[in-house]
Amino acid sequence: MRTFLVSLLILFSCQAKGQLLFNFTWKSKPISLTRYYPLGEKDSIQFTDLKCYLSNIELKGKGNKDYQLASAVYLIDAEDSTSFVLDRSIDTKNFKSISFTFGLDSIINTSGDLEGDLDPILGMYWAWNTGYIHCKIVGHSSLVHTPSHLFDFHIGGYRKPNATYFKLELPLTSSALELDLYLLFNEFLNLNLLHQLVVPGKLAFEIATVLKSSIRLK
Amino acid sequence: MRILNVILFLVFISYSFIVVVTEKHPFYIPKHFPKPYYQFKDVPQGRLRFELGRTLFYDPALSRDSSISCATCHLQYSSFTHIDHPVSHGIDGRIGNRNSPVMINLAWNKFFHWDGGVIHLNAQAINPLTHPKEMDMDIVELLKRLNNSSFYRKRFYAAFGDSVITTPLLMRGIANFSVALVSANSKYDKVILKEEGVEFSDQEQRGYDLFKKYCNACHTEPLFNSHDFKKNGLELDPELKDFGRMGITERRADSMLFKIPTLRNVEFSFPYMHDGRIQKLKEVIEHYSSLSTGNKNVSKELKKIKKPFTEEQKKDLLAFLKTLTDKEFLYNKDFSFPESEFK
Repeated sequence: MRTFLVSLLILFSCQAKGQLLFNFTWKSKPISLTRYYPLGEKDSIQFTDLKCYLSNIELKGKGNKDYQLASAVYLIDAEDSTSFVLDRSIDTKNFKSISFTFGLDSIINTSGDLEGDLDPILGMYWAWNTGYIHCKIVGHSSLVHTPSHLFDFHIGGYRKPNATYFKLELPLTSSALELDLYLLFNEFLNLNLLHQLVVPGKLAFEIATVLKSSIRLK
Repeated sequence: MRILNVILFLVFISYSFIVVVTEKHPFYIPKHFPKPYYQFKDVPQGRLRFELGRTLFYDPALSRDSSISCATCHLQYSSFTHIDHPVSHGIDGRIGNRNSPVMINLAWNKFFHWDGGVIHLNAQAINPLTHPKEMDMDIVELLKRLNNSSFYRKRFYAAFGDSVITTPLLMRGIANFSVALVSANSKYDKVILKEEGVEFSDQEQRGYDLFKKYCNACHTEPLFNSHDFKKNGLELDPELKDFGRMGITERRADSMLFKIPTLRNVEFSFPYMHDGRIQKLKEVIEHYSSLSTGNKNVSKELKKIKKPFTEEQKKDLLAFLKTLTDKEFLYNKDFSFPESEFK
C-alpha cells in the first residue's frame, strides 16, 4: 500500500508543473524498497536503504538568468518521498540546463557544518574520517553468499585522486532526475565477489563514476 | 525566620547564577602562542557553554549503557589521556587500537586522532561517542536521552537559548569545554616569557639545546607539535595492524605515518606512542637515540641523529622535557569533575 502511495505521489509530482524531482530507479522505474528485482538469470536484488547527496544545484537560464536552488545540500532518501522534491516552484521551461554536484564537494565535506541535511543523525557522516558518504546503497541479494545476503556500499571520499563527487550539467529535457542502479549491479558489480565497501579509495571512485553515468533526466 | 531563610537561599542562588553568567569562558590565547587554527564562530562563548560542555564531558550518560564518560579515557591529572593504558578500553571492556591522545591546546590542532582523520574540533566528539569500542552510543538515541532530561534541557536553554538539543548544539557544547583546555604555564613557558626568578637549571638548559637540535623540527615550540605525520622507527604491530595515516589517505607512502603529538605535560601522559607500546619517558629517549643505528623506518628529521645520545645527554633531555609539565593545568579546578552537577 505504502509503495503504491509513494508511486502515486511521484506520478502526480512528475506531472505537476514547476516541481524538480529526483528519484532512484531500476530500469527507469522508481525503486520500491522491499520489492525484489530480477538480477541476472536466476538471482534477485532488494534495496533497503538508498540515500545520496546532491549539492549546489543550479538551473541555467535561456537568457542570462540562472537560478540557484534554495539549499546548498539535498539528501535524497528513498524512505522519505518528500526528499524527492528538490524544488516546488520552478518553471523548467525557462531553463536550458541543470548543473549540480553529485555528492558534496571538498568544501562542504570539510566545513564542519552539521546542520540540516548534514546532521550526522542522518547516517551519512563518517566519524572516523571527516567527511560524508555521498551515496549509500544497502540491500539483500541472493548473489551474496553470507547468511544475511546483505550488501552494503557506502560510497564517499573527497580527497583526490579518489574523490567521489562530480560536477554534472545536463540539458533540461524534463523536470525529473533519476539515478538508475541497473547498470551498477548488472554490469559493474559482481555481488558474488564484492558485497561491502565502506571506505573511500579507488574502488569507491570507480563505483561513483558508474553512478555518475547513471544519472539522467527522465 | 523561615521567610528569612528562603530569602537568603534565593539571594544565594541568584548570586551563584550571576557569578556563572558573568564569568568568562576560560579559553585564552597565551602571549607566546601563534594564531589558533580553530575557527571561532560561536565557540567559545560564555561561561554557561563551557560549564555545559564540562558536564557533558564528565557524564557517563553519554555512553550506551551509561557506564563511561569522555573523562574515562581522558583524565585531567594525566593531561587528559588514559594513563597507564597502552590502548584504551571502552564500553564492556572492549579494547581499542590506539592510545588515547592528550587533550591540550586543541584550538591549535589542525588534525585530530593519530591518523589525522578528523579535522574539526566541533565534530571530533562524534567519533568516540559512536565508536563501538569506545562509548558505542547511537547519536539519535543520545539526543532522545538528552531531550528527555529536564536537567539538560534547562542547561542547553541557558547556554544556547534553545532547549531542543540537536547534534550541532551537542557538539558545540562539548567543544566549548575541550577548546578551553589551554596549557601554557609550565616552567618552560615561564622561562620563555622571562618571568622573574624563573630560569632553567644548567642541566635543563643543556637538554633544551639538545632538544632544539634534534627534536624541535617535529615537536616545534611553543606547542611542541607540528601538525604533521612522521615515521618514527616503530614497526607495525602485527595484531593491531594499524598503518596510521594510510588508512585515511589511501596512499602507500603514508603507511606507518602517525600524527606528531604535543610534548606538553609529557611527564604525566605515559604510556607513549600511538599504541602506547613504550611505558616510560626515558625509554622513549632511548628509542630515538637508538635510531642512529640506521633504522630505515624513520622520517628525514630523525636521520639527523647520527650517533646515540650519551647517558648525560639522555638525562639532560629528560630534565628539559619535565619543564613542560604544567601543574596549574593538571590541577585546574575549572577542568575537573563538576561535582555539584552530579549530586
